[in-house]
Amino acid sequence: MAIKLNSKVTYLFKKREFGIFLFILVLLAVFGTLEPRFFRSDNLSAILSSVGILMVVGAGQTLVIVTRNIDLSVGSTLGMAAMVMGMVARENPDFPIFGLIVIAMIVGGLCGLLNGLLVSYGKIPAIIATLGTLAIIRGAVFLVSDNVQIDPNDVPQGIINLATTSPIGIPWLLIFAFLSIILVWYVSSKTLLGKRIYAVGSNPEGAISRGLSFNKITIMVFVFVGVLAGLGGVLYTARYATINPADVGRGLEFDVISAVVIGGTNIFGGSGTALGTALGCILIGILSNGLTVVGVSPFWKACATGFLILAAVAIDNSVRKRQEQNFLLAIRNQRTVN
Amino acid sequence: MGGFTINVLECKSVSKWYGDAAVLKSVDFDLAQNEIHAIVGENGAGKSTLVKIISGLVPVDVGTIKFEGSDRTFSNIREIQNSGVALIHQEPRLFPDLSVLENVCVDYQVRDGKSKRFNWKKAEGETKELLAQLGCSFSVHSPVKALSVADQQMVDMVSALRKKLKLLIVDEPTASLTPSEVARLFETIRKLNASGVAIIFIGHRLEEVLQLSDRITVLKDGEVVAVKKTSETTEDELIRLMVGRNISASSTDSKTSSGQTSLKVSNLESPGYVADVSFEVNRGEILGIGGLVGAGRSELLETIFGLRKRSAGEVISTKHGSIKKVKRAISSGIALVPEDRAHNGLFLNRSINENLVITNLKLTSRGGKRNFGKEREIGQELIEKFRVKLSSATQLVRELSGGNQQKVSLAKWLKQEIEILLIDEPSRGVDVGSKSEIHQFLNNSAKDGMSIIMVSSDMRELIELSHRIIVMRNGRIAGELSGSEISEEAVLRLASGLATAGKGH
Repeated sequence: MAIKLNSKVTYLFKKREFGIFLFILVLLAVFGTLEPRFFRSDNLSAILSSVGILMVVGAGQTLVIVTRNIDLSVGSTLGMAAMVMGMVARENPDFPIFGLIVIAMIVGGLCGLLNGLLVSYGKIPAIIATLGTLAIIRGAVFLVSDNVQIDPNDVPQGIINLATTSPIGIPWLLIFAFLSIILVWYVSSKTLLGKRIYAVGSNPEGAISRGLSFNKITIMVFVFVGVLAGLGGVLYTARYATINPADVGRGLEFDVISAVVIGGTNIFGGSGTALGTALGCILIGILSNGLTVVGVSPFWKACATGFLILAAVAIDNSVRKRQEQNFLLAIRNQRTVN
Repeated sequence: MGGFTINVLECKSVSKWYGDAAVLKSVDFDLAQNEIHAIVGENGAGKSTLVKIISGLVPVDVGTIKFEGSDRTFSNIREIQNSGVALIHQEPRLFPDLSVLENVCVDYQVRDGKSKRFNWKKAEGETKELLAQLGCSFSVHSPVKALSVADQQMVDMVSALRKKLKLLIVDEPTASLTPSEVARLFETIRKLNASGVAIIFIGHRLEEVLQLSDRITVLKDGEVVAVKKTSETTEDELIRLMVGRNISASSTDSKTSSGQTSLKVSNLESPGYVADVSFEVNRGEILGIGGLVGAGRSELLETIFGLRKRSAGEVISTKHGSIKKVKRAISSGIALVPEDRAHNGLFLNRSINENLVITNLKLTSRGGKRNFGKEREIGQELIEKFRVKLSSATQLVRELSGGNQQKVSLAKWLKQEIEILLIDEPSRGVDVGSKSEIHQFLNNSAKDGMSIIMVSSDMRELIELSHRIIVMRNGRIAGELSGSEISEEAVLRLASGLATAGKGH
């Protein structure tokens, strides 16, 4: 009986991700019919690039939200990492590409560390702490850059190539996205650390009374999302070749959090999957590109994304409720059988 | 059990204050290795604080704790747990989103030979073995939120057992368990004890304490009033020691009701929980609702009160007509005192007074403006009526003991005309003294004409207080008992589906 119960649950969870997948197919069909240019290879690669950047940051954000936190500062963090990296490259044109990537990830990690410390030891709710750092880090981008943008000819070709070339026919940008998702999948489903991250989000008090180091885990997930946002900064630079202090990563938090939530991560912590997030990113990427390509005004576009998030959460709630009811019924039957 | 030779644990003059209030006053407590040592006392006597100190959840203010013969210097929970001490709470501390296996392993230290990777296969094998030893049949892969409370407690137990355990503290584990589940738990505890784990057991049901323990320490107001060998004491003596006064264990007043119907429930249905339930309750009657945990009893009360969506059926108050919504229920003189008072019955972070007036705002405010003088007055009246133990009426409810919280949860309704009281597990987690006061209150209110519908898993309470008992099973009424038909055995038979007798339905 118990085994049956378990397979039922897996089935439902699978069904949810399957639902997003179907919705993606519907979107593709609709956009493709309305505007054949949607399927042109340059448009598809534009979609893939923006989806890739979303996935890298979204992978990190998933774990943050699983711990009942949220990081609103990912856009600013991405911007900061890109800007510092761009300035290093501008001053040292021969700086190795690998070194630049590491610098961006370190800068991102430091921003994440700041968030993590504020939330854990500072005991400031994540939504407030990261709202603060969203503004602080953005301000810092202006300060360090002196409000001067990094021009395309100051960006090393090696960075730009990350968006287009690769050893195996898939651009580096997508390989990074894929690896980020795989990493989160592996950590969350195969490792003890992953289980601890979910435990903290599932029952924080319980986690403390079982001797899990709550603060350590909180800091860890914030640093992790920071490092990935740093990597996102590299990919952003690769894609756009320009780093404007006002524009770089601005508003990214909205798309990333939307993607994670649409992907089924519970905003109250404790559950969420890397696969769901990956699908959520694809959905958001297609939607935002498709609406533009078919000529929907930017205002309506914003509304549409907003509606989608609300719908996703509403569906999620009702599915969860039904699941709970099914559980109860199954238990009851189990008791009757015994 | 023979001579207690080695003391695993020795607490010497342990004291603890919360603010100005001394919760523990120079408590001495020792525990032998092969012993099951029970701690009893009224709620607020300091039992839970004492075991929280022993398990490291709360630091000690004054006093020493010797564990395995040496002074314990560390105060970190993790270190204490690694030294072989585990505490199981009355409500299991688990992670609902994780599976059984993941719950058990989540705090496990990776010290698995050379490999730094956690060996899930091995862990699964060990967990399965432990679950089998405890007689559990659920899969290690089920999410914990899909398990019953009893099974969750077993998961909590297994989590503790995975480590090298030397001292297991069980803090009132039986509150929400059925008799057969309690039996299984006790068997487990005995088995552990026989294998060399010292046990501290906190329980409210004295018969269980007497049945399980070797020695009993009685706490009262933060002090040890007696340490007794179980074989040399009785339930009456323990109650006397705990309370400091004699309370009648049973209050068998003449059980009469007026015969006037006050509430009629017909064909009530709430999908998944309550199916086709019909009954009537009279003025001045205490209608007990028995059944196993999960039989839909609490859900029935919630459906009557309008908290839970109903898919069919009617609730009709003789005086006020049909009742569908909570607001209407309250204005018709129906009150609900829920089982989970911490979440549903009280605002833990607000003061006692605010909790008491929240249901009486009509009396204490005018034009949307609070009258604080009036609030204090009403609060004071209710506090005195129920003898709530407190340091001041502005104290947060969070800081009260279980018994006193229950009194507040009940008292808040009593400033208005309550005709029908729905009360769910009136004495769950409540000490003996408060329990007797609550029982007295229920009896008196019924005599004054109140109708009371009471859900209780405490068989003695159910049988002694109820004029009539409806037993539920799987969301349906399995049978009804009244007068001389009422007995523990009859209730159990109906609850477990062994009999379908009883009147009607």
